Amino acid sequence: MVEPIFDYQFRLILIGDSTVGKSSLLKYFTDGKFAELSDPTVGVDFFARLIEVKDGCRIKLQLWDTAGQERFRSITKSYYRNSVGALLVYDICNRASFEHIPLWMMEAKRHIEPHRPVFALVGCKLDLANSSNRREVSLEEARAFAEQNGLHHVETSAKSGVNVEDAFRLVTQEVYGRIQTGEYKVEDGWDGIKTGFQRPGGLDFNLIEAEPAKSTCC
Amino acid sequence: MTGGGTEVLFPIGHPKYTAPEVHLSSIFVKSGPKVDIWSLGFIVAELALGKKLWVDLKLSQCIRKVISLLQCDGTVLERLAREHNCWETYEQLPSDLKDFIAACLNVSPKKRLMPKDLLNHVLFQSIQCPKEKFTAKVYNSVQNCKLQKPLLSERKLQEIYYLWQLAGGDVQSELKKQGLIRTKAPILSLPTVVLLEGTLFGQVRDQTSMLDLRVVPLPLDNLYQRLAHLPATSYYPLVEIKSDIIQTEQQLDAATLPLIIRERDTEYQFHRVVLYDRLLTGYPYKKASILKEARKDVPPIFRGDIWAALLEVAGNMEDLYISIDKETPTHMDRQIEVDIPRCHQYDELLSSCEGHKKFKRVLKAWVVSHPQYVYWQGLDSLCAPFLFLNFNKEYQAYACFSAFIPKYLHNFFLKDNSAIIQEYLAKFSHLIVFHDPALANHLASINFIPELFAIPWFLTMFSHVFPLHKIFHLWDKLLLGDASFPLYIGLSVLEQLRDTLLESGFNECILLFSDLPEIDIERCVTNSIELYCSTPRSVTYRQHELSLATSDSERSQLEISPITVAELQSEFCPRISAADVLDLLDMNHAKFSRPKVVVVDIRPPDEFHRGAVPGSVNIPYSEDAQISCLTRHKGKIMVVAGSGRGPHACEFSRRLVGEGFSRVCTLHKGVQVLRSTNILVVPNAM
Repeated sequence: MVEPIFDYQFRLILIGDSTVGKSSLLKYFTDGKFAELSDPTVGVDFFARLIEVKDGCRIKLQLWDTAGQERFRSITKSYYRNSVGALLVYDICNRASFEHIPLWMMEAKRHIEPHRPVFALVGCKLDLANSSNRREVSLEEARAFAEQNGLHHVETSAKSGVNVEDAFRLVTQEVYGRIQTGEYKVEDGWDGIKTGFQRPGGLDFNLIEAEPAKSTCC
Repeated sequence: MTGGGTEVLFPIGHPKYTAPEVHLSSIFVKSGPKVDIWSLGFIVAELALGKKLWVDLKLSQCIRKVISLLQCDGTVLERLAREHNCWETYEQLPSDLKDFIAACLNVSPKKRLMPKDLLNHVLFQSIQCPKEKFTAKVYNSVQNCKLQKPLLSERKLQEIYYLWQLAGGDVQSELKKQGLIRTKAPILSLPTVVLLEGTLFGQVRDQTSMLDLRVVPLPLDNLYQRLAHLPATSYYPLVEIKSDIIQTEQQLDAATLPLIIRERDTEYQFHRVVLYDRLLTGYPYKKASILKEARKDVPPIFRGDIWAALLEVAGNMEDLYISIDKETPTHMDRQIEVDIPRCHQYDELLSSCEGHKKFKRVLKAWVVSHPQYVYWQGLDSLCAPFLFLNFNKEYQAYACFSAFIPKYLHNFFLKDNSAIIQEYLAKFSHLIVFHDPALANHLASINFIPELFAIPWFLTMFSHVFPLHKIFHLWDKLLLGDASFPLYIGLSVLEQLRDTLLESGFNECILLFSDLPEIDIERCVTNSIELYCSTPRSVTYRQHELSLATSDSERSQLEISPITVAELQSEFCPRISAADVLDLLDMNHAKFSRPKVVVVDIRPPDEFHRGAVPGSVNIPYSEDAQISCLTRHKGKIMVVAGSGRGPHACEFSRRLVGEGFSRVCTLHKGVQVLRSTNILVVPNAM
């Protein structure tokens, strides 16, 4: 099977409470569709999409959608290690899901160590908050929290598609930036960042694929 | 069906016979016994007066009449008699009958009597205790009918309806023929003008949504014809035959057809229904026969009951279920409430309002009655098939669900289930290695571990992965297997995707499982059974499985025993117990003409010559030991036996798998465990 040509592959993980809209966000980002109902994620689910960053570099995003139910953390924590970025997802119309964000962030930091992931705080269901006035988390407080912790913040709607692209683009651009400054490197045994096939015309490198990491289980 | 009349737009009784309070209430009064008593009174009144009342009136006038009865001076019956010019008849009626009718037709629902009070009415005093006579009479009439009516009419109504549908019957089209359903493009029913207050203009009200009292008989001719050639004995199959001379197996032509076709074949289903009906009546005594028949197939109509039998549900589950508190709010309610509306919602039953209510009750009942467990996402999917099949027997759905979990998912729903899941997935990996080394090597090389895709498979026994109609066929067979059987199903699913997997990298693999391609369930099931039969039991041994066996101390040294999860995960190949090896060696040639197993002894030659398994091959362990001599044993189960301690056996077996040998395993505890069996011989003497 021939893979589409890309320069880098980033692995991003989506975390947050059950039913905040992680799967819908991904569905919209990868398919451009909104599903009124989506199955609960049991364990982990995957999506992929190719995007281009500012200087034309092509990035393949490997997107890991995790189960939101708190119990699955013991199973899903092994997925964190190989991620370079994490989208902390909450529901704008559900206060509790926002209040749990610090927990999710700590959890992710702890398991991604020693790597320092790029975080983005993503509010979902903006359409619902606007149309029926059910907002429970104000834009200001989310923004304040994001600034305090050095996160990007964006409010999205997987129904209308508002800002969905931005949410992923912000993280991707930041990761790419950190590669350029040398903060991130492609490492063997870590799948957070991988280089893809070289573009035609480039030097004839061997395929650089990460070594199979020792199977670490949940 | 209509929630006591509250869930439909039309009145559920004939307006003439309906109690006035029903007509008066703006929100629908729930229909109930008191409303029925009014209707009873009205019918008796008609009979007593010998006249149909209000015959020529229009519907609206009729309703007005009923309401006007609220303002009678005397009794309702008096008023009715006057209105219909039959005062004379009225006067001649016995007083107890008049009193009875008055009790029924009391305009105040509060004062109207309940059925049990009415039974104590003076009117009935003279006819106490006629019960026995009455039933005998009915029975006699049934006896007489028997000879004339087709045997089919003795079957239960639901069975007849099921067969009728298979024979091409379709209620919708029957109703259409009668003009009771008219199809009309939805856009044509839009009004042309709607005023702000809500008044509609421009559309005639659709008559089909109104009450229609016509009774539509469903023609049975088709079904009769299909079954006409069957002898009467088909209706009474022999389930217990003492003599072997009589051929018990009635070979049906359809029996060899694919499952999907068998399920649609009227005649085949008829035989299955008749047979299972008898067996299920005899459950639990007929459990063995049900099991035997279930190996062939399960007719959809009885699936719920058959599954309950296979899961050995017995006893009074209804009372138990009723006694469980399903109402008190608990902390997992939110999670259950958000999961249910996302679970198999393409199905009409499960997506209905009633379905959601039942769903929640059954799940809550399970969580409440199993305090050691917690609600995990995925339990909803697991519960869905049982609820669908036992939609009107919630307690049986609960009972099956409760019996299913310990059998296949023992301890999976503990708050911390990581040890159980890790062991399960490690065993799954071992099984892939054992049967398909090429696939296992490939998956290992791209580091594509079962943790990434198989958790929803096993946590929900595939009910989160497949649609209901596939789950039914899968579980029909799953329920016949033991706790290890799901592992084989998992392997069979992989086998169907094998070609794609082999040529895919990590990214394609994970995407493949995100959106699982079509899986042929019948093939998957057949394949699983083959794999199951060709695998020694100890290969899939799990310490976390619910075991009825004895404690560790009593277990034979030759059996497999628990090892740590870390050890399990570090090993590439499965372990086999000495007992299974002995069984496969078949020293007495009792079972196989040739042994199915070859023991590869990797101990140093001196140890080997002091005593080895007969027929074993000695390849002393070293980094570059020659293994080409094993090629001629390909196809046999290869048991790598070391001295028991040290990682050599594991490394060696991994190398064998790397070379493409299948069915490789290591001997649990090494060669010396066989000392006690007197089987070891000095190789020269072999």
